[in-house]
Amino acid sequence: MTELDKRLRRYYQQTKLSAENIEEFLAAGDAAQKKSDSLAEATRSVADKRDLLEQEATAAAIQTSNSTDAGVGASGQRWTIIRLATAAVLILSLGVFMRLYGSHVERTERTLREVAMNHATRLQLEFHGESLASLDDNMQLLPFSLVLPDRLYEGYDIIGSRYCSLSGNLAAHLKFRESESGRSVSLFVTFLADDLKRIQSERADLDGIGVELWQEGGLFYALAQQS
Amino acid sequence: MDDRASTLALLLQAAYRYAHTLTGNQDDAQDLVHEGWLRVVERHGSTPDKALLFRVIRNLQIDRYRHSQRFPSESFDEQRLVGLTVEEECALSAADDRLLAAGLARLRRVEREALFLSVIEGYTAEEIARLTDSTRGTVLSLIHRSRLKLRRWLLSDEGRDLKLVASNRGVRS
Repeated sequence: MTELDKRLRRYYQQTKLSAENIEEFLAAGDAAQKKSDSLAEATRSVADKRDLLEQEATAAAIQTSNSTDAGVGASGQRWTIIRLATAAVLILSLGVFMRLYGSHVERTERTLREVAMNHATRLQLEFHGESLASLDDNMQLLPFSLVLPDRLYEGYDIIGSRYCSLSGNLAAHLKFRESESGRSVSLFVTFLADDLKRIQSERADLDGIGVELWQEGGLFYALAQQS
Repeated sequence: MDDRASTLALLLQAAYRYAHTLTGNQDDAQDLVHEGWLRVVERHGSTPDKALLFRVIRNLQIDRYRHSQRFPSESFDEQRLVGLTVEEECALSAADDRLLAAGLARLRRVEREALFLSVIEGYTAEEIARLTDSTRGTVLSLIHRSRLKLRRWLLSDEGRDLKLVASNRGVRS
């Protein structure tokens, strides 16, 4: 260790957070994690309740059918009406859910196809460079910083990039070469817009092109390569 | 403080030193660590690794820098680092440290960052290149240049004058 290194270490030893700051940060971190945990718990609980309601609806429908056949009295008829109404409400809810889910599936499929098409068309790159930082510097129109996702951190060489559109949002199309196979890989990065937030993680094979969609660090990523 | 809290405190101290290297002042460094810490904890749990936290802090700083460029209400000026805050001056008890701080402030941000990650955090050039999205050659060159600049500054007339002033101030107080 050189004398300069020793001086630097001594200097940086004095650059530190106060104990109060540390406590404050840790408390804020704990609170953030609790919030995140309770959100996950609430999501699980809603899913459980939905499953339970579906089971109850099925059971009620079966029972209704049985009791109608047996020909019950006035009290039985009232219960039958209640059960039928419950079943109707549940069926309606299921219909609304299926409609929303259908539009989500459609959006996901459209995005997957868009990514595969963008990869396949091999349009000319606007920026060339081996470093993400230099591409990031050039792509000033992007409303976010280019950040490599974890899975591309090793084993890929950057070739260049261009602007493109993904699900109606301004995106960056980055071209990589897989170091071992020399295979071309496209990475699309865009801001996590509201319509993309619903697409958590998807993978599909479209006409020989493997496409993956996922979210990471507040950005939406899509990866495309020959299967 | 239990083991987990001590580990996290060490991690936060390292993150703060890194943030300080990037921003050059206490307040921005504290904000950066706070925001980075919350993001990492929310997404990756409360025991993140150092490299991940450093990456998040670095990306946040890049975003902030870009924002300050687009909306220059408060422009980022590396030379601002030369004028240390009162708190920083108080903290730097030795004239040597004050001199070194001024020397560090004269380095470019990327030079300061590479030197910090190498000397203080002990990362290899390869690891720094990965963290800063650069090449190993560039990192080695940055570290070499920053050492050279610092040595020159410490031996320069201006540096010696600053040390003398700081020493006299120390004697008076």
